[in-house]
Amino acid sequence: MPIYLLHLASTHADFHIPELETLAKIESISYRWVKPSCIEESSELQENSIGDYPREKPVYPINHANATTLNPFLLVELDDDASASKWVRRSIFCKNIYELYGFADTFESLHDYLSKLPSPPWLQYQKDTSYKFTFETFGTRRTMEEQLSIINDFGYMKLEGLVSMKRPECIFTLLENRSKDIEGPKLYFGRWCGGSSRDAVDKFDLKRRNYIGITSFDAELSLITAQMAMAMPGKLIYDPFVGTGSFLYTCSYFGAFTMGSDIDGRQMRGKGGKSIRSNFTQYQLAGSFLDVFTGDVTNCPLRENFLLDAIVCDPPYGVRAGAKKIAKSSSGSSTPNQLNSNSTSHYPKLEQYQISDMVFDLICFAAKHLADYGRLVLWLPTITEEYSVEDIPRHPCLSLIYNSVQPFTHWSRRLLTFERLPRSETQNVSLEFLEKASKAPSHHDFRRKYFMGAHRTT
Amino acid sequence: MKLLTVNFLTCSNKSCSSTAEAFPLKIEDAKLAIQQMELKPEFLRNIIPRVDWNALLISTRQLGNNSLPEEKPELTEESDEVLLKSLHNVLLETEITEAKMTCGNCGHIYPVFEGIPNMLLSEEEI
Repeated sequence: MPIYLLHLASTHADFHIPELETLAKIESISYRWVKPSCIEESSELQENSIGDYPREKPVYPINHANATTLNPFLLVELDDDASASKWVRRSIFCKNIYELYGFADTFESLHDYLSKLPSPPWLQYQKDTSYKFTFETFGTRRTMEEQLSIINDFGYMKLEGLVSMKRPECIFTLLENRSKDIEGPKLYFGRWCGGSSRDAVDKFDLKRRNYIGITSFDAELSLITAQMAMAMPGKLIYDPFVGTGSFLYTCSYFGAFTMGSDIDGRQMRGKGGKSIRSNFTQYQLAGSFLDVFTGDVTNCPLRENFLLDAIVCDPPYGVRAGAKKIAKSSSGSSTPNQLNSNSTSHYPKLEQYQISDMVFDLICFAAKHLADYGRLVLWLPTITEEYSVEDIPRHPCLSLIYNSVQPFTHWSRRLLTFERLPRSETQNVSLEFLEKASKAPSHHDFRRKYFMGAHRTT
Repeated sequence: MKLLTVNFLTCSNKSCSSTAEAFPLKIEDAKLAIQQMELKPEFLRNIIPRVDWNALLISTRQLGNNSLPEEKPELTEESDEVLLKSLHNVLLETEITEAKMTCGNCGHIYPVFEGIPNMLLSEEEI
């Protein structure tokens, strides 16, 4: 099977593998990770830094830690080009995928290896295929002249097709890594097989969004949230803390119907013609928007036996909302409690809810309302110093499949992905021992700790 | 609010949600609008099995629509487009912009305003 090279973004490394694994599931792709370092370490390859890596060499399952911001390249074995392009077409963190022809640390050894291949993989593109060469460089730049000279060195490929800069049938790419921080081979050479949906990060950029609020969620991480929820056509996804709708747009972007609710109806309604609905119109996704309603998760109006394909949420843990309150009281207007009693809408308990209690209620809600294999995708803030794995909420009907972290200075934000176990397996599960954790998790009283930490560092 | 969503909502009061009287909420004084949407057969095939058909029939009749079949249709890849379109029209293109939705058990009235239902209980009911 051919080897492919994934070129990944340099942001949020902890989310890369969970995304790729989820995409493989969505697109029904089978793959095996290949580790270039294993090839280099093997002794028979010492004299020639490139190996005959594909078939005979051992293939190791990759450690998640291998995909780091410092190493944007991953090698993988796939059935064919079609699988490659399908796998990454809706990816946020993969930039491009290439069929790998060879890798090396120097141009000499790269050309030495490629020119001696008994049956070069580009043979089928030699005659009548229009082509071009492209360059991806890290920690270096190549002038046009240098690029031309490098292209000329590939003369042994004997490409006879027309060079087409605009619509080539075939793109050969040299990826050159001169950054001291990036491990692994310095040069990769291959043929481009497909691009991704990374441009969606730009599409959903908050700076260009018609209606945003204080809790609007970053575009890139809203997209990965939708990805982990396996948003796709046919599905119904619900956000119980919808705010200004950040997750709804990205889930609908991938084709799912979306529904949201919030205890504070004002954010959803917006004003001056700007609202969640107007954002759906801006993104031309109104055809995938179901509804929003004002509602309280702890007194949820969804009927008991109603099933969802996924639940996505960033529960309010009081930091951004808290900051807003402080601004109000310092201007001398009113305290949050007075605000509540003066308002025509009701703002019951939720504000006083501990996030740890809220998370507990949320997983119970998810266990009840998720369809079999449906996913709960939940952002959880934790205090880095206090975090332990016991902080992750548990439920016998839900299995934690990913725990990715976005670190900040004294706190972190974790994206937890749970899968609803099929009901055929959980019919006899006892919920009796299901209790709130005896020890207070590190996200308990998060708001107070967050501001204490902020105070400490300033 | 789309008619499909009415089928997912019941009274927020926990002591009502298990009673037969609470669901579906009774729709009164409704203002309707038709919002054209692209037909998505895949979504209908996925969601129709999750629709409480009897409740849907009750809701549509409250709105004066008798176009739906008595029995829940089984949608397949081959389902004919006329059926899909009529379901799509009722469930997704029919918007309730203003209404009162009443729980048949406790009598709480949930208002729908500018297409958004307010499902919150009052402080005393919690």
